[in-house]
Amino acid sequence: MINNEIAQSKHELDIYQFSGNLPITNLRDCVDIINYLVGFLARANIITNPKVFFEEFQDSIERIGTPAGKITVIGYGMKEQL
Amino acid sequence: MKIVVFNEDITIQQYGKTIELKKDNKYLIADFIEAYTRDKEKQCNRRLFRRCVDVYSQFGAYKGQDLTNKNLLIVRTGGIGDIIFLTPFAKHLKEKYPTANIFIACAPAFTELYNELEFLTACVPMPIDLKQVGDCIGYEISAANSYFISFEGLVENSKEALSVNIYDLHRKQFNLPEFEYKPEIAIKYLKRKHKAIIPTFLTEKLHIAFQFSSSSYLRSWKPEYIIQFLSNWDIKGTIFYIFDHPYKDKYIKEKLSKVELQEGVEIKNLVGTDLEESIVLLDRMDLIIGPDSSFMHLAACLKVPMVGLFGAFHTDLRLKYYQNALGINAMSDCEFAKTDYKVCGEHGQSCSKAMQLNRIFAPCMDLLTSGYVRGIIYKYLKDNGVIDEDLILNKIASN
Repeated sequence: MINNEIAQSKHELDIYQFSGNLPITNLRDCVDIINYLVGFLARANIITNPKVFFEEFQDSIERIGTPAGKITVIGYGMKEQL
Repeated sequence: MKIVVFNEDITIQQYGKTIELKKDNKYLIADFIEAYTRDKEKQCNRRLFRRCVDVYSQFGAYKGQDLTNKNLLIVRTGGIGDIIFLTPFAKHLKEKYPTANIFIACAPAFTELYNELEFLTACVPMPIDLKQVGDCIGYEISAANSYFISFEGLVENSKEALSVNIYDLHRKQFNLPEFEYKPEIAIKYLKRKHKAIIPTFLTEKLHIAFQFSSSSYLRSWKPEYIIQFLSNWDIKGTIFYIFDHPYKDKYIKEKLSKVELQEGVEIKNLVGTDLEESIVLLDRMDLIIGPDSSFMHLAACLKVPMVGLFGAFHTDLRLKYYQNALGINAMSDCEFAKTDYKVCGEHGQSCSKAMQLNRIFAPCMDLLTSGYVRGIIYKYLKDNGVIDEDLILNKIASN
């Protein structure tokens, strides 16, 4: 849900249409909406490089919930164990 | 497992194959086939089973007994890897008891992969037609001359599966002392059978087989990571051969269309290649990369170097006894991870954490970033003399 106050303060941007409750159940379904929004933000010079922003944003969605931890690399049956 | 006799001919589907079970014949069936047939019985409102008794009420369970002049039927209806795990034990027992007849019973789709192994009397399809077994050895099997051992649900139902290697789990059930495990598949037979498709590879190329996914999302590497991995692979002369199940053909084609290959790197999409032909091709590879799935165990049988990307299970639990195997493990702090290995050991299509987050792929596998995996494999190839310091193939540089 887009914050109504922010949308109103940025009334010159036509993003108010997104305010209200959107039936978002899965962030994966929202790529088109976000893409559209990024276009507006770019035109308002809030985002300078939409492509980079969008890629980073997509990446952050894909990484939701990635746990912390470590990676181990083990060699089996090798002359030198890694 | 049950020994059954049917009142009429029955048809069942298993691994895409239609199996006909004849009236009056005596079969050994898995419990899920019994449940399926019971359902069918209710639907048609007829009595399909004439006889249905637990196998161990008729035969002894094998627990390490002397097999001199005896028969042993080893039962497992799982995937191809599950059958590979049995082969070292079948061979070991045949060497120990040369007069014994050792049978492996598995899904019909896989019998030909093992049938020609010289230490087996036969690899028979499940459900087992007990008359067919008798025909193989020239007399009827009975409690006096035969034992059964089943590995159904061995990993799924065992807490030890989270901390003990899969071969050791099997060894405990066979009640055998430790020995060197050497898994096998009938590669000589497959090469003879598919002689026409054995490729003549250019030796100056680096041939890498890549299993795109496992049968479950739970153990698969996220496609986005695979796209990044393949796009950034920059060892000139590399050919990636992509393998997977035929039903994923369209999905993988779409994913591979997003790969922007570096100069001198090629991809050959072999998704949907027949299993036997795939094994013959795998035998010619320089390296096999894949998730926790069948290709790791096929690589072990074929003695091809392998790199495994693991999450839900640790590579110690699967690759520990293999040669030239590199295990890359995502040891996450996920709340479902248990034991020192930090693994959940979950089964099924999706992991609990992924379901919580409304995701598809296991979040722990995200720890295995494409750049990291690529760097590790470069190092592995360099350490083994396949590529030099500048990541240029030695073989190509000399051309």
